[in-house]
This record gives sequence, C-alpha cells and structure tokens, in this order.
Amino acid sequence: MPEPQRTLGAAEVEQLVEREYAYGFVTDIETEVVPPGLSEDVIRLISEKKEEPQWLLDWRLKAYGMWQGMTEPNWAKVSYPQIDYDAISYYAAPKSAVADGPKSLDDIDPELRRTYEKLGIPLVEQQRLAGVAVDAVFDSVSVATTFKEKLAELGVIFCSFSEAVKEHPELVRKYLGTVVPHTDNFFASLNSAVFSDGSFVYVPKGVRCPMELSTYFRINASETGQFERTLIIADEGSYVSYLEGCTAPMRDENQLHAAVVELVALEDARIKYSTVQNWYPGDKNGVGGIYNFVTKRGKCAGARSHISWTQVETGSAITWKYPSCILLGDDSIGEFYSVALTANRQQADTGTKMIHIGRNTKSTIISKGISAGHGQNTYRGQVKVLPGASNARNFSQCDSLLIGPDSGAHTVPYIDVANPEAQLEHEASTSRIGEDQLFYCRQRGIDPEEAVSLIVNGFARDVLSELPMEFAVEAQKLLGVSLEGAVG
Amino acid sequence: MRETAAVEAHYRDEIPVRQGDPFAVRRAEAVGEFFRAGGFPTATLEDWRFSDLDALGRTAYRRYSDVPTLVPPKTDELPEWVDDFGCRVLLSEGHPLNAEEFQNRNGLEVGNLPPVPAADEQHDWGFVAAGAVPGGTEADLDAPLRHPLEILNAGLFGCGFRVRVGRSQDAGPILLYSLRHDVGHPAMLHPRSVIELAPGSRLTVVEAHDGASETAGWTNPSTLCRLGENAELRYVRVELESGNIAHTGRVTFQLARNARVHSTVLSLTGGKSRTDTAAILSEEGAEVDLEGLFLGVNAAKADQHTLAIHAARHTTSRQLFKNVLSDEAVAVFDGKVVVAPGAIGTDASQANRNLLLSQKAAVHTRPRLEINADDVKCAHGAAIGRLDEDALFYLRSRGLGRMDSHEILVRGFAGEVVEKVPVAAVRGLARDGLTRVRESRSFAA
Amino acid sequence: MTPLLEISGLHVEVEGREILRGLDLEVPLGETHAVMGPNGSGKSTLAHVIAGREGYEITGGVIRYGGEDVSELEPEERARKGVFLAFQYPVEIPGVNNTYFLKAAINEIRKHRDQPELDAVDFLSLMRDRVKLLDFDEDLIRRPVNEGFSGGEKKRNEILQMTVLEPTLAVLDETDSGLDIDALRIVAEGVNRMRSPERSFLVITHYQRLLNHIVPDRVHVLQDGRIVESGGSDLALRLEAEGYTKAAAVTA
Repeated sequence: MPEPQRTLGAAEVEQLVEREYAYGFVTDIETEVVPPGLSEDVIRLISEKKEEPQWLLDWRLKAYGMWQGMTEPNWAKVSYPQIDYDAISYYAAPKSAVADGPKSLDDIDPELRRTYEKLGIPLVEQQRLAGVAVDAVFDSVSVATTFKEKLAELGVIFCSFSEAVKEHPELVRKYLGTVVPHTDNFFASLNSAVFSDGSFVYVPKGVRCPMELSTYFRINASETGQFERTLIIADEGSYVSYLEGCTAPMRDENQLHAAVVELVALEDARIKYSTVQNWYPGDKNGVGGIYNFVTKRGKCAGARSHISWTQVETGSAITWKYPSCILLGDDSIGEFYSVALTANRQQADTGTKMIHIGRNTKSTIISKGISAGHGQNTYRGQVKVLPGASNARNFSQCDSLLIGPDSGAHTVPYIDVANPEAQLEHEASTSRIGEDQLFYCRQRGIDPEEAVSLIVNGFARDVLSELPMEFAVEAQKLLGVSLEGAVG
Repeated sequence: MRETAAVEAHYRDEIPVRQGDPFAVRRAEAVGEFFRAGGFPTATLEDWRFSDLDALGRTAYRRYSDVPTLVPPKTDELPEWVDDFGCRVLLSEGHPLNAEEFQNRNGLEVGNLPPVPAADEQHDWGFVAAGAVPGGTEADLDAPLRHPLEILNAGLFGCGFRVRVGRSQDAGPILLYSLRHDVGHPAMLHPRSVIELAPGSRLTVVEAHDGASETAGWTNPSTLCRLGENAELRYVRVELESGNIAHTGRVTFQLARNARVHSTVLSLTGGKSRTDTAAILSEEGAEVDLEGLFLGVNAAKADQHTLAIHAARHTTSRQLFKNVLSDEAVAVFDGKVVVAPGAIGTDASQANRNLLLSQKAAVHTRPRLEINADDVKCAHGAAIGRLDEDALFYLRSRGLGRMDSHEILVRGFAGEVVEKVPVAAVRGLARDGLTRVRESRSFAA
Repeated sequence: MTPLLEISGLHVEVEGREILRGLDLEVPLGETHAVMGPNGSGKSTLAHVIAGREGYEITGGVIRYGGEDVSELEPEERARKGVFLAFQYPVEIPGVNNTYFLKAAINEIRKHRDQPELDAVDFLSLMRDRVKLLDFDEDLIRRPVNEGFSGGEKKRNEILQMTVLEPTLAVLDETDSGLDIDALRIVAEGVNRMRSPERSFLVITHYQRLLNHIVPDRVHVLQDGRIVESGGSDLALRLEAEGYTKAAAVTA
C-alpha cells in the first residue's frame, strides 16, 4: 500500500516560518552621534567623552594599531557584502542620558523608560522582574541600572562599564583583556579600540549573588554600530547568574554589533551566562538586519571553577559567535548550551571552543540548530585537549532540525587531543519536521503553526531547561513567535 | 617569488616526454595550473592544517625513470603475501614487471596504463580534471578531481594500472602492487590508475604501495574508479611505505545508479601519509562504505580525508575510520558529507574512533556535515579514548597477562574494520600491523 | 436520523494509484462498527482520509460527518469537531512532554466548543484519573510524546489521548497490532468504557481477535477499495474461519 511520501514544500514552509519582528520600533529621542569613520581621533574622542584614564586610552590605541594590520576573517560559512568600516558611526548616545550620566532611576528620560517598558523590561525595582537586576544599555551608553544599592550591601558590584572604570579602576585594569586580549581577532580588536559601554560585575569571595543580573542591549540610532564590552569576575567561591537580551529597530540597512564578553571564574566560583539574542533579523528577502560578530570567552582560572554559556539565538541577519571556555584550573567545568534558529535568509555560524589545560577538566556541548526557509545554520566548535590535561572529558551533541527544502545545516567540529587519558565523545544528527509529525499534532486539534512551534521547542528542550526560570518562558515564546505565521 | 619560479621550472622539466603523446601540451598546462593555484599547499590552508607540503616542494625530487642509477627490479624481492593473488600487476620503481600478462581474459582487462595514450583517453589520463578551472562549489561533482595534487599527477604521471571489467563479469581479487627502493636520490612516483566496472559487474581489487627508503621519497598516486549501473566494487588500499617516503594519495569513486562500493584504506605506513578518499554518488540508489584503519607506531602520521557527495536522491554513505596510536603517532581524520540541494532521502553516517595508547600520541578529528536538503538522515560521531580499564581488569582477573589483555582489546577495536576486508592476505597484513603495535615502545607502558 | 459518519461512492488516489474505489459506509451515532480486510485492501487509507491527511486525493464521492461534507476540512478542524484517529504507527515527537502536548490539544478543542480552557491543575487531575483507568505508568505521561515507548505503550498512549479528548467519532486504525493479550484487554476495556449513545467507533483491524473484546454492532469487509460485505458481529468469526478470499468469493 503506498503511503504518500511528502516533504514540506517551499511555499508551505514560508507560510509556517514567516515572522514578524515585534521590537522593530524606533525611539524618537535626541541623540548625540559621532560622525561616521574610524581614526585615532575618534578613539580619543570616545575616551574623552567617557573621561577615561590614560592607560585605557593607550590600550584602545594599541588595539586600533593591531586592528589596522588585520584582515576580516572569512572562514565562517556566512556571506555578506563587504563592510565599510568608515561608514559606521562608532558612538551614539541619547543626550538626556549623557548630560549627567545615569544617576538615579527616577531621573531617567521618560522616553527611554517607555522604550524599555515596550520591550517588556520595566526599569523599576518591583513588578514582574522583581528578582532581576537590570542594566539597560541604549546605543553606546548605559542608561540605568536597577537594584544597585541592594547588591552593594553584599559587596556585589553591578554597574555600567564606564562607571566601573571610574569607580573600580583597579579591578578593571587587573582583568580587562586577560581573557580576550586586544590582539585576539579582527572584531575583538575593533571592539577593544572603540567599545563604548557595557556591564561590569564583580562578585566578592564566597558571595552567592541573590538575584539574576541582566543587561538589556538596545540599538536605536541608525548607521551606528554597537560595541559593548562586558566583564564579569566571580571571586573565590562565589556564584552569579547573568542574562543578556538584545533588540533593534527594523531598518533596511545592516548594522554592526561587535561585542566582547570576558568572564573570569576564580577558585570554586561559578558563572552562569545566558543570552537571549533577538536582534532584528532582516526581512524575508534578507534586507536589513544586524551583523552580530561577537567574541565571548570565559576563563576558569581557579580550581573547581565552573562556567556555563547558554544561548538562544533567534535574531540577527548574521551571527558569528563562539562563546568559549579556557579550562585552566584543575577540575574546572565548561558548558555550552545553544539553540540557534535561522529563518528566511538568516545565517548563523556559531559554536564554542573548549580548551582543556588543567587536569580532570570537563566540558559539555549541547547545540541545537534549527534552519527554516532559506536559513543557513552552521555549528562550528573546537574541543582541544592539551598534553597536560590528564583525564579530561568532553561530551558534545550537535543536532540540526531542518524545516523546508531550501534550508541548510552544517556541522564542523574540530577535535584535537594530545593526551591519552582524555575521553571525548561527539554525536550529531540531522532531522526534519516530518509531515507525519505535523499531521499527528493536527489530528489532535493543534493548528500547524502551533504544531511547528511545539516540535521546535521540544527539539530545543535540553537547552531551554538551562535558562533561568524567568527567561525560559520568554525564550520558548520567542522560538514560537519566530515561527508564527500571524502578526506577533 | 624567485624560489617558486625555480620550483615550477624543476617540475616542468620533470614532465615525461614521450613520442606521440597527444597530451604533451595538456601536461604542461596541468603543471602550470598547479603552481598558479598556489603550488604545494601549506598548513595555513584549512584542508592542509596537518599536512604541510612546503618541505616537499623544496626537495628536488626526480622521477624514477630518469634516475640513471636505477636498480633493475627483481621479482624475488617481493613479499610472500603477493603470491596469494593469482591475478596481479606489479610495478617496481614505476617499471612494469609483468605488463602484458593479464590482458583481456573473459572480459577482464588488467594491465599497465599504456605509456602513450590514445587521443580519446583523456579522461583516464586526468585531463578532465586538469582542464577544469578551480572555483566550483563544493557539491560540484568534479571537486575531488580538482585536488591540487591530482592536477600535478596529471602533469607528471608516467606509470600506472588499468583494470576494466566487462558487463556482468565477476572478477578478482586482483592485486595492483607498486614497490619502491632507495635509489640514493630524492625520487618521486606519480602513478595513475583507472578502474572501470561495466554495468552489473563485480570486482575485488587491492591497491598496495610498498617500499622503504632512507633517502627522501615521494609517492603521489591517483586512482579513479568508475562504476556503471548496479556494479559492485570492493576496494582495498594498503599503504606500507616506510622510512622517508612521503605518501599523498587519492582514490575517487564515481557511482552510477544502484552501484555499490566498499572501500578500506589500511594505513600501515611507517612514514607520513595523506590520503583523500572521495565518493561521488551521482545517481539514485548508489551506496558506499568508506572504511579505514591506521595502526600508528613511532612517528608515523596518517592524515585521512574523506568526501562523500550526495548528488542524487536516495543515496547512502557510511564512513568508519579507526585509529590505533602508539608512541608519537599522529592521526588526522577530516571527513565530510555534502548533501546537495534536492538530494532527498540521503542516508549518511560518519564515525571516527580513536584509541590512544601513548602520552605522546595525538588525534585531530573533524567530522563535517554540509546539508542542503531537508528530507535526509545524517549522523556522525567521533570518540577518543584509551582502553577501558574495567575491561582490562576483567581480562587480567581471568588470568591473562597485562600485554595480552591490552592486545586482545586493541585487536577487538581494530577488528571491526579488519574483519570486513574481503581478502585474507590483506587481513594478514593488518594482523602484522597489530603485532608491531604490540611491540611498540609505549604499548601497555 | 442521519448517521454520524456517512461515506458514499468514495474514490481515493495515493500518488496516482487508486486505493479506494467507490466505498460506501454509514456509522450511526452511538454504534461501534468494525472494518476488516486483508493487507492492502485500503484500511489505513480509509482511516487517514477520514482524518483528513494530505496526499490522499479524493477523486469521487463524499465524506459526511454530522451531516456536513468534511472532505475539504483541515485535519485540525475535523479534530476539533470531534474526530479522533488512533494511529497504527503513533509518531514520536522528541522533547515534547506528553502532558503538555495533550493540554495544548484539549484546550484547542475546548476553545472550539466555546468551553473555558483547563488550567494546569484541573488538567493534571483529569490526566491522573484517566491514567489510573488505563493502568498506565504515570511516569510515561511526563515523558516526551511516544519517544522511547514500546509498541504497546504507544498504542495505550493513543487510547489515553482518546479518553482525555473525548471524541464523538473515534477511528481505531489497527490498534490491536503489536499488542500482547494483556495490553489488548486493557485497550479494549478503555474503549468499552467510553462507548455511549453519544459516541461512535470505527474499529479497523486485520484480525478478529480484537472484536472478541470490543464487540461491534456491525462488521464490514473491505476488499480492493470497496465494502464487499456487511453483517453482524458473527461475520467477523466467519471471516476468521474462512479467510478473506473465500468470504469475498461468496459475495461476488
């Protein structure tokens, strides 16, 4: 008896994955923008605006010098037109926020407050996100940080990067560039030269940070890039869970986002870093969207330290990021949990690096790639075991889900082992949303869009379960919304 | 720059000149193309991370046939296992030892590639590849033939094998054996072999590269296997060269509808080798098994690259590559599965398993999937580890010695590939290789 | 009174091949009918076409459900109107929790019926209740839909879903295949408990065995895409004894 063999056709898929970007509005606010172009003068100007000490300016200029001699990497499986780095403005800030800097929550420009409310991030210390402290970064500056005083009582420092440079220069100077040096790669060097703001966290010895720390990044101005820098230090025996979210207006130009995140975990410390990335992905023809070229790396510096990266990547026209762990301390642990969804013409080349240096180090990689429409999704990851990393362990699982005949999924793991006591396992599979799964759901009364979202969420479950409670639901919705046919 | 020009001039001089060769001009073009595309690949290139051929390019290798001090080949130097094959073609230093012996029996033609080709044999002689300009996509069916060393081979080859199996014939096992000696001068060999199976035919063939040399040597063989509809090939490649002979070899399978290939690459080399195995599944129902085993001792290095191109619906590929590494041996596995748009019903799997027996051995593995169609089943895996302590203890608690326990587990590990080799003589070679592993410095240390 | 399910002159093609060739079938509300037939007679096609699976092309005839022509309706629309198909090969949906899945389904159906959605607490107590009735391992309802279930567990899961969703017409496609006798009894009890004047069953099977436990009001013999004979529950026994070819020969 013939069973009809069908795959989802291109048109059907398009209908199922057509998406409306819910955060595409523009805030009308007076903004100070530095004219496009990059030079030593621009870097001096940024540094001056931020009233930085000389050593930091010198560091920026060194990075700029490096960057000038570097070429843009081209090994990732993404294609985009040449970026004109002189057409980008490297600094943009709402005038109201710059006037006196972010002082108290009551002084925030009402227009900015409304913007964050619309994004679902109320900048008040109660209500829905009562258990979460938020640092709100708008274009190049931090506009507000909540719960600062409460955290200060425990000695936890949570503030904008600019503020940290002023208030805690010794900590910034000690750790800046120790995980991602200014020479690291093209985009990291660019960031080191021009970074404008970002978040800074320091958790003192033995302190378990009592609430989620969160930064919400918003690009608003046009023809600008966002180059934030985040530095998190967890001192001995401390714990912190940190989450970042990001959105941008819908524009038919491409905007560059080149951030750097550095994490340092000392002995027995643990850092859990989660990202829900929802930058504007461009329209269904691939016009507009954010180029997200990000360098994220954590150093498990101390024995028994532990860093986990969890990322839900649903936005951006192009994603290029590899949150990594350097497992230096003996018995340290690195984890990477990722869901990357590419629909329409989105491209993602993402994964991780786990560098095992210490003894008895362990790493886990769970990557789930979902490609729909003409989406292209590449997992690229490296597991490296150095000769001294006796008894290192790694488990990697990279699964791909394909929706529609025009989507692509690629898996490129690099595994380099120079210690016989290491044990590594890598597994990968590729599957598609089958017509039979869809029919099964529909026979139970569930409509096709919801069925797809249900299947996608099921596929991503192992990763979503790693997110802090407050955001797991959010991320789940995002995966749903991303694939929904209706207006979001 | 000047240096590159000198290297190119040297290789142009090495192009064999034969009276009446219709491809003389094409050969020169191929060498030119090789150098235009960058010449000898270095480790800065992604595909050559672990096989830097810069040093190879700097050595003034000469073709054997032009080395005046050539030792006349002797048949009594051949290893015993060669006698197991009733049908065999032998080369020594690239010189045929028994060229005409097996021509055209029962629809089977086995022999040396003629020194001067007929004008319509350009495909056999590699000029389809050499003529193609680089820059095609990865799913491009000619991609394996645009390999830089494949192009260089087309320019320089002067010896090789040809096997043709007639429609519905069942042939084999056949041995294609190439032996090298130290000739006291850096010598290179570029054999080219073409194995052609007519529709419905079957063949078992063993291609072996053997020999040792203190003086630097280089073997760069190209083998092209073309299978007609529903043909079946069992191909075994044995790399036995040792000492200072570098091996860079390629075998490419082109499969028509419902054709099947089972290929095993056995690296028993004592030197350094780079082998590219490629299968082009260009018609529905084609199916390929690519397997490999490297038994590495001392400073041996095997860099195995595979490529399975699924260009038609309902094609299947399975890859299994295993490495056993003792002493300072290094294994590289760079496997790739490409599923072209529209190749629905593709079933591809890829596995690389590594056993590290020494502190100084190393593994680099990169099992890659490139999938551009949605109704496919693809899975891959890689595992690296040492012998299971529990299993070792279990064996020893049953009274087996330490060495024996290790050996049993290593043989078990290798057995998955060895036992599927369809020729007893070759299985014997693998067992000899395992014995060398047992006798290696780091074994059970 | 019009029958709940009324199929007349139904022709169905799958990939250009005609599978159903003028099938007529009526199932009145409150009755349980069995459709029996040899392999390849079109039994599964019938089940799928009632549920509205794509790829089955209706080239003639009509399917009426509750008096309405449903031939053009989407599968989920039919489901919300009370059509339930217990699959011969239930599909695995990795990562999607069984309970979550059923809650999504029941609330879609309730929405359609203008009933308020069940909250998590109410739904869970309903599930617990049904699970107990079916002698189901409670652990299974927390696992992903059908993932890693044995054949028997999958079939029982279908019946569990049926008892939760409370359909008006339940089509059981070879629910007995792959079940041992104990599992068969549990499944049959689940079905029997649900039989009521407000609900009809269409039991599709190759073997008479199931009909010892679920005694049908009518039995139809499907052969070569047509109903070739209909009768009472004793017809099933006769088929078992004589085989399909002979029974069909009698009618021919």
